Amino acid sequence: MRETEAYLNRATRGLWGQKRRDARTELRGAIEDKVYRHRLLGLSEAEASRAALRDLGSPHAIARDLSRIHTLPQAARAALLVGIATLVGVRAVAQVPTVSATSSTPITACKLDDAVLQRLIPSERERLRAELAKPGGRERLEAECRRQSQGPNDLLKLKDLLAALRVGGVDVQVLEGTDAFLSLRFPNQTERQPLNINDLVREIGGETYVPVGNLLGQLRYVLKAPVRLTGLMNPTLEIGPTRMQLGTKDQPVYSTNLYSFIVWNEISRELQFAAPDPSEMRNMVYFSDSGRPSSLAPSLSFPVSGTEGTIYAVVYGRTSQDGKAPSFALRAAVGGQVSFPLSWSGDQQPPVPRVVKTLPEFFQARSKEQPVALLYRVDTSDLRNLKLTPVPPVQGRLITQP
Amino acid sequence: MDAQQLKGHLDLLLLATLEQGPRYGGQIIADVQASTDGYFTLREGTLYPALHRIEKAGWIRGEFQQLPRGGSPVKVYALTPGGREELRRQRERYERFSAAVRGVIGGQA
Repeated sequence: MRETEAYLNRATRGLWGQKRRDARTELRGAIEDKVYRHRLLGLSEAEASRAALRDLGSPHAIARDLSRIHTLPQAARAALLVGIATLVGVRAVAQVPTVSATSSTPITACKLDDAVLQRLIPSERERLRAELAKPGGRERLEAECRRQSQGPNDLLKLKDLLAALRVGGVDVQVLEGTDAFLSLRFPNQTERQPLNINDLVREIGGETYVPVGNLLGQLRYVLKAPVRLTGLMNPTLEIGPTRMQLGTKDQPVYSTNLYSFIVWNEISRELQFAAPDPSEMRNMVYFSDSGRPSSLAPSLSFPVSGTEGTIYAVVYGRTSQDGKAPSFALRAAVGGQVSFPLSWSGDQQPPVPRVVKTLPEFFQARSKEQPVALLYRVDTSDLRNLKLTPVPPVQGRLITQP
Repeated sequence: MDAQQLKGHLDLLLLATLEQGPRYGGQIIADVQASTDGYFTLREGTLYPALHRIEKAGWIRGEFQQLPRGGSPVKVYALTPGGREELRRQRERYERFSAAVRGVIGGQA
């Protein structure tokens, strides 16, 4: 309180009488407004006051400007230019703009009832029963199940994307009559580059979204600037000199899922070329990354030599869903290991797939219905050129407890 | 955007904001921020001197009002008839300015 009054005195020095009283009242109202907002965010009275006064800035600068206005003769006022450069806050300061995300798959109801439990192997069933018996256990596991089955946040809010590009200095033009037929001009460049994602947009809850996989796929071909993602969770997308964070704490985005679209194309092309029956490869399934290992299914872990965060891809010979199509997953290496989800059904311990070196070996094992896998290291330094390097066969380890 | 772009246009922004209806300082900052998607974030140190200046020029008039949540009264500003006229003049001048710039740089402004 005393700090505020001291501030108000300094900020209105140079004025006198009613003018000074009015100016003090007005600024006091502005400060109270800010304190009110800060307190709503949880700050204490003292913290909120300090923050509010900090927001207002130098009281001397305010006093200088106010006294100039109220004491200068009419003619001189016309020539007065307030020093805007230091006083106007521009959005793109230190923070990287954020693009919100959401999921294209609706949340499914998850009921962990006896029918579900019966499908598990006995040891898993007992472990889950024990968890369910704990207080709050059912809620926890069902929430986990919902989270796992929701599907990754694979849609980006178009509005945020365009704003982030603009903050990064990109001149973004949207073709009139469309939502997302874009024309981009990057800073320090004269030519414009088209990016038509208009056919990809969809409306959810009144907001327009674009699928991030398709977007990145297009960016690869269209842009002359390098395109890169850094970080695993809520990665920063770098397109030339612009940067933006994809995803938020509430709706996180994982870079592994973002690469899947491009990697799917690369892998399925390779497989189709070498497969005895190419049509089966087209239904290849991707195991999305939810950011945490599932407590409902086992995982397969491999020792790898890549540095922390290096992305690896596993391609399984068969999925359990239809028993025919292959599946793949992308995960980041942590502590010299990379862990992938393993899908299985039935009441036996899932067998550990054998990693092979070549595609012919892969298809041979597949045709004999033997569990088999291919392992790749993914070079993600430039999305325009994602390279898959085969990893020599290594023994995988089954992990049933996360 | 850099600050140079805003210089000379601040009055126009304030008058146009008040065209929507009477506002006090905090509301004006919020309105400008919202309608520019955060591109312009006015600081109080810029805003109040500017409001006082255009009030002195007769384009807006302010009077203290009590907010429902209590506390100190806030000064609520409204456009005067002279202010509406000035807003029209400044809008016209801005349109001519941006058309001229467009003529040189090409493309859609």
